[in-house]
Amino acid sequence: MVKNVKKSAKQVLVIGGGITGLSAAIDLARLGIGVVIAEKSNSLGGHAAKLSCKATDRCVSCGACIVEQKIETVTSSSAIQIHLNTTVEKVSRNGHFEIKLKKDLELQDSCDVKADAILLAYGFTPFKPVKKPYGYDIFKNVITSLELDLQLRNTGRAVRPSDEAFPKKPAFIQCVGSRDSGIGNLWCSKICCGASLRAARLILHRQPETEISFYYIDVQTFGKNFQKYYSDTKKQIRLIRAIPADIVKTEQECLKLSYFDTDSQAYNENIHDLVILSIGIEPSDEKAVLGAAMEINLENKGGFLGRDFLPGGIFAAGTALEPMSIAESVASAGRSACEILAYLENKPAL
Amino acid sequence: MKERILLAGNGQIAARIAEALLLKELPVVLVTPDPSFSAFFKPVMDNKNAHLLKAFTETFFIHCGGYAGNFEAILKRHDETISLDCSFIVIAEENHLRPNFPLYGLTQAPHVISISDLKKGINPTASSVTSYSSVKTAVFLTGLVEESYPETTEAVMKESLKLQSEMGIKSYILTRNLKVGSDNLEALYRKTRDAGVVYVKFTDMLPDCKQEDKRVVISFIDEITRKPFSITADLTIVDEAIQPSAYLKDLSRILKLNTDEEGFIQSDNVHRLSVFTNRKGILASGGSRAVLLPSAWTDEVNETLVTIFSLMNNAFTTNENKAMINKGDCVKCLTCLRLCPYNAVMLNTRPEVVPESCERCGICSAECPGKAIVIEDLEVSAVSKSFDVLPEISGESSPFLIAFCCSRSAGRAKELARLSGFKLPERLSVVEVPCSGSISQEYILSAFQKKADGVLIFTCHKGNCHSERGNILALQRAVQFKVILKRVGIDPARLLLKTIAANMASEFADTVSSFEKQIHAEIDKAKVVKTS
Repeated sequence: MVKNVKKSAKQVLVIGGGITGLSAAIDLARLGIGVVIAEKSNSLGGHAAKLSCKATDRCVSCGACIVEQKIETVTSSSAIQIHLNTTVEKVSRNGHFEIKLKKDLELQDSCDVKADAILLAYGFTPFKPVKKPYGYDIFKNVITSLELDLQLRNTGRAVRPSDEAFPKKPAFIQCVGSRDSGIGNLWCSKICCGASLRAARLILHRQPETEISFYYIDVQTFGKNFQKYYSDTKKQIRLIRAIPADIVKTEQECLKLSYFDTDSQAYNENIHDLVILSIGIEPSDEKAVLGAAMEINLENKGGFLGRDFLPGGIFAAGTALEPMSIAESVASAGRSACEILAYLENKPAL
Repeated sequence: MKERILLAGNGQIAARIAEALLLKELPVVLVTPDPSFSAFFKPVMDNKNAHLLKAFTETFFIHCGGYAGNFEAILKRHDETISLDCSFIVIAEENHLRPNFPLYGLTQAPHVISISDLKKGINPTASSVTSYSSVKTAVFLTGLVEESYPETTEAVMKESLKLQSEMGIKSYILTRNLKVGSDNLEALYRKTRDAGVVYVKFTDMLPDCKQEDKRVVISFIDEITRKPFSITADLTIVDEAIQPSAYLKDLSRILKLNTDEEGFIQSDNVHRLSVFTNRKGILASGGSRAVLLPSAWTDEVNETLVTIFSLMNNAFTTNENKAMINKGDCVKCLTCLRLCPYNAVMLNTRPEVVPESCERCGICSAECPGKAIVIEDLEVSAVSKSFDVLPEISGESSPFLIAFCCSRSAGRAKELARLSGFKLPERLSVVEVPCSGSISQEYILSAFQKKADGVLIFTCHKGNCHSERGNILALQRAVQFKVILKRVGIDPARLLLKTIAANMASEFADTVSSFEKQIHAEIDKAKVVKTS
C-alpha cells in the first residue's frame, strides 16, 4: 500500500492487523506516535472482518461493523504504515528494535524497519473441530460457527452445504474446543455464547420458519441488559442443557445427535438438518515461528501469552493474551497504547 | 494553566485514574457525594504532585455547561455553590451491589449474608467480626433467579474454596448458568471441585429455601438424578445484583448524558466504545458505563487515560464546517436544542451552536422548521451538485439511482462491495453524508428533481447510529415523504428505505441491484402503457 507517511519522532511496530492491532495503531497515532503494521494475510481486519452483522430489527452490539471503520481510519492515517502479506523474519535490539520484515507476495522480498517498541497483536487461532468427534470434514452439513458467519455475511441466509437449501431444524453445539479437559483447553472462550445466540436470532429473524436448538453447558453473560436478552431468547430457541455425545448421518444428509436428557432420564436422539459447531479460541499457531524470529519464548499459560514475562519494549494485547470479545480487544489495545506511551516517554527518540 | 480533569467517583478505578493523571503532572479535581474518600485514594492524597489536586466530598453536580476543553461545572457542597473550569470530565462511579435476599425468599441474618459481607469477613448483623467455628455447612446461592456475572462467580468460587479447604466447612454452590467467561475461571472451577466443593446446577426448577432461626433448609430436586435432596445450611451466602448506582441517574440528567436501558451512563451503542458518551470530552469509565469485571479494570483505567491524552492531542477535533444558526430565520422554537444528540446547542438569548461540540450530524438543519440552520457542504444545493448525473448508456435504459448513505455504515459497505468485486448498478450515484440524520426531505426532493428514477436512503440499524437517533429521524422523514409522493402521483416505491451495517457488502449490493431491477420493470411497464 503506497501512501505518504508522516515521519514521527517515535515509532511502534504492531504485529497483526486485526481488531486489536488496528485499534492500537489508531490510539498510538492519536498520541502522535508513528506506527508500522505488519499483517500476515492479504487484508486488514482479521477474524472480525469475516463476521456477519447480527442486527435483527435493531443492532445487537456485536461490534463486528466497527472493524470496517477502523480499517478506513488506519488506511487514511498519515501516521500509519501498512505492510500486508508480511511476516517478521528477524528482530534485533540495538537501543531500539531493528526488524527485518519478509514480504510474501511482492517482488521486493524484505524490508527493514526501526521501532522503539513492538506490540504483539497476533490474535488467536480458531479451534480445529476435527479434534472432536462431531463429524466435521466428514458430514457435509456439519459446519463451524465461523463458516455460518461467512454464509450470513455473504448471502444473508443460513444454508445447508449439501444442497444449498435453507435448514428447517438446525442445531448449535456450544463449547467445541472450550471448557474441555479432555483436550487440555481449560478455559471458556467467552465469545461463543454471544456469537451463536445472536446468529440464531438473526436466522429466526430472516427465516422465521426455522426451529433452532442450542446445546450448551452454561449460557454465558454477554452484552448489556443480558437478563432481558436471555429471557427473550428462551422464548425463541430451544435451549438443551447437554453436550451431545455422538453424531450420526441419517437420510438426506441430516444428522442425529444423541444426548442424555434429564427430563426423561434417558438418552434422547434429535435429528437436525444442519449442525453448527461453536468453535472456541485457541492460542495462535503463529507464536512459535514469531517467537523464534524475535528470540523470545512466547509459550506460556496453556498457550496464551502472559504480560509479565515480556522483555522491555515488547507489549501484547488482545486475544494473544486470553480469549476476548471485540469490545474487550479494543480496551486491551488502549491499555497497551497507554503502556507504550509511558515506556516511550522514558526513552530518547530514534 | 494545564488542562484540568474533573473526576467523579470514589472507587478503585477513579483512584487509579487520578493517580496516573497526577503522575503526569495534570491537575485533577475529585468530586464525590460521599462523606470521605475511600482507602483507594491514599496513593492519590500522598502523591508527590498532590498540590495539583483538589478534592471535594459531600459535593453534587448541579449543572455542566461548555464543551470539550472548556467545561464549566457547577457543584454544590452543603450551602456553597462552586463553579469549576475544567477541560475534561470523567465519570468513574462504582457499580452498586444489591444483595438478592428477597429473590430467594430470605432475609438478612447472622447466618444469612451477602457475598460482599463474607469477602469482608464482617457480619453486619452479628455483634462482632464473625467467627465461623460453629459452621459445618455453607450454601452459596448465585444466579438462580436472575442471571449473574463472572465477577460474582469468581467471588463465590474463591470464598467457597477458603471455607472448604482452609476452614473445613462443607460448601455447596447452587446456581443456574455458571458464569466462567473470565480469565482462568474454568480452571478455578475445576480446582474448587477437586477441593470438594459441590455444585448443584438448575435449569428450570429452582430450590426452595426455608429460613429458620439458626439455619436455612434448602430443598430441591436434583436435575441429573431427579431425586429430592435437602441441605441444612448453618451459613447461607447470597449473591448480589450488579447495578448502576442511584447517583448515576442524577448525573445523566444533569450532565445530559444518554444511558442504556439499565441506567448506565453510556448508551448500548458500539460507537461509544470504550469510554465515550454522547458529549465529547465527558467520558464514562468502569461501573459508570457497564458491569465491568475486576479482571478488566486495568484495561479500563488505561483505555480512559489514552482517551484523555488523545483528547488533549486534539485527536477528535475536526476542522470541518459546523452547523450555524441563521439569526434572521430563527424563530427560537428550540427544536435544535431538543434534538441535538451531542448537546452542542446552547441557549443564550437565542439558540447557538457550540462548534467544538458539533459533530456535523445534520439533524438540526434537517429538522429545523424555519430552515434557519446551515452546515456548509451539507446544504441541499451542495449535496445536489454532488449527484453524478450518469449518462444513459446507449441502447439500454438502465435507471438512474441516487443513494444517500451514512458514511459510517452504508458508505463503508459500498466501498467494501466495490473492493470485493460485487456488481453494482451502472447508473448509481452514491452520496455519503456524515449521518443519515442530515437526509432532509429537500435532499430527497432534489434527487427526484435531478431526474432520479429511484432514490435509496441507507441508515444505520436502530441502536447503531453515532448520533443516537439520526437514523430514526431520517426514516420518519422519508416515510412522510412517501405520503407526499403518493399525493402528487409519484409511485412511493421509487423511494426505498433500508438499514445496513458497515460490514455488509453483499447486502448493499443485493439491495441496490434488486432496486435497480424493480425500477427497471416499472419503467418498462410505463413505456408499454404509453405506447399502447
